[in-house]
Amino acid sequence: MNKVALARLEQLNQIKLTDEQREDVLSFLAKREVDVSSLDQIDTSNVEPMVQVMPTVLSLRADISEQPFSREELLAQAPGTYAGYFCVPRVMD
Amino acid sequence: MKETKMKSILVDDMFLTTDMTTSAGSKMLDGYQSLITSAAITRAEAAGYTLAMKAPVGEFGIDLLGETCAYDSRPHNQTLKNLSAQMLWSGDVMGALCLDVNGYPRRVAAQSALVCLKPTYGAISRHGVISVAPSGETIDIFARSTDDCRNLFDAVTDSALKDATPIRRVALLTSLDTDMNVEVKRNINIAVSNLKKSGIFTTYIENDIIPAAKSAWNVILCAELCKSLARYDGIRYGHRAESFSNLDELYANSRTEGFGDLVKAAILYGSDVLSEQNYQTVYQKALRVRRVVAEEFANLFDDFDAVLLPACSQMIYAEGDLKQDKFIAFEENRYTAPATLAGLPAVVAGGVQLIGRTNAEHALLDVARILAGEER
Repeated sequence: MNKVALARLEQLNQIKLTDEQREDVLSFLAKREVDVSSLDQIDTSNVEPMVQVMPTVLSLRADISEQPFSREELLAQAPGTYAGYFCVPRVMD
Repeated sequence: MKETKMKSILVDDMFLTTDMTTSAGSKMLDGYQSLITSAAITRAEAAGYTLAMKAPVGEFGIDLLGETCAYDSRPHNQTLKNLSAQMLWSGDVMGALCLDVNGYPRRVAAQSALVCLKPTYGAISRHGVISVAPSGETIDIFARSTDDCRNLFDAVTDSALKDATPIRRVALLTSLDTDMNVEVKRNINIAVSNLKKSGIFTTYIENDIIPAAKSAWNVILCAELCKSLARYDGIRYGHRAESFSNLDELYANSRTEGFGDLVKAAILYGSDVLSEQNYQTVYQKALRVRRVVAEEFANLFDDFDAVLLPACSQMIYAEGDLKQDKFIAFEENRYTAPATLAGLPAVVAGGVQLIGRTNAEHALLDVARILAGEER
């Protein structure tokens, strides 16, 4: 991990770091690399990845259309709205 | 401690409520008003509990004790303190529900002489909590006594499954017996002594697999956090930057202003482990290690009923510890990560942690009475 790769991660995640924060994060990522290298000590050949720790059953609700919340309720939290829509800056000229 | 007259509880600020705002300790969710109430709160209220208040939480619950909360402006006076623990000790509430993402409730309980039950993954519905690491996070029960903990757990759990096998044989891991200070070591020794007096067999065993849980959980936690927090963009709710010249800047400025340093670092690391060059060698490797750790616990539980270990490396965290390493939470979780990674229940009492088999919450609480000194 270097500053160029970190800058790319910042762009992908829409986060901007200051120079001081960048140094801290690079140090943090370096420690994580050391952490991860210890995982290579564990033999995982022929071991399947474990995404869910407990057996899960997908429970489906009835296929009935519901309207639990009104448009007004859903828009109430938005920082910017217009005519019943979420408001964002112009994206096309 | 003064006696509480009512069955009042608090929740940390990761639980959605319709009558109080929910911020997850983050400026990103400043002023967010939920349209639903968490299922755990609804179940607690149906059982006669009253939600008295919400306590501040560290930003998205991934820090040491809550010190990264954007809204907790109390001076720490050189040692870090958690408000939920203070409210429990003062007697203003008799129990608390907290979201355990990276172990903070268990560390708080150990340092505050409280009882904390981390249940089996899935035993308590997380509907209506702000999810960060959905494959491992659990709703923990915090209380002053094991009975209060048990009653609140029974009120909110969905699971009728119970492993009532009494705990008679407890293992301690030599590999997790290092890096703790004298006070924590003393608590472990006291716990071992009390368990032996109660007729419970304890012994040290070698195990180099389970400590790998910390590294694996750090990968999985950050990967899931990166995905979970991607939704926060300032468009539909939460913090929106005032200064921007286009949509990309709106997203970037909102997220930059909204998230704290620890969360930003975790997002960037999570994104890195999910990248094309690291996905197989890091993320998938961590998931495979997860299975190896889970199977290691299963094998261990053939010969033992529980594992005793610390919940933290020291009984007080000072502000200086954070100045030295602001990401210390990703090192301190070496004691809490094993139970989280494998989805196993754990109880903290008497300053130490006991991990048990799946659905063994009641058996753990029975032993917690000994650890907490309630059986005298």
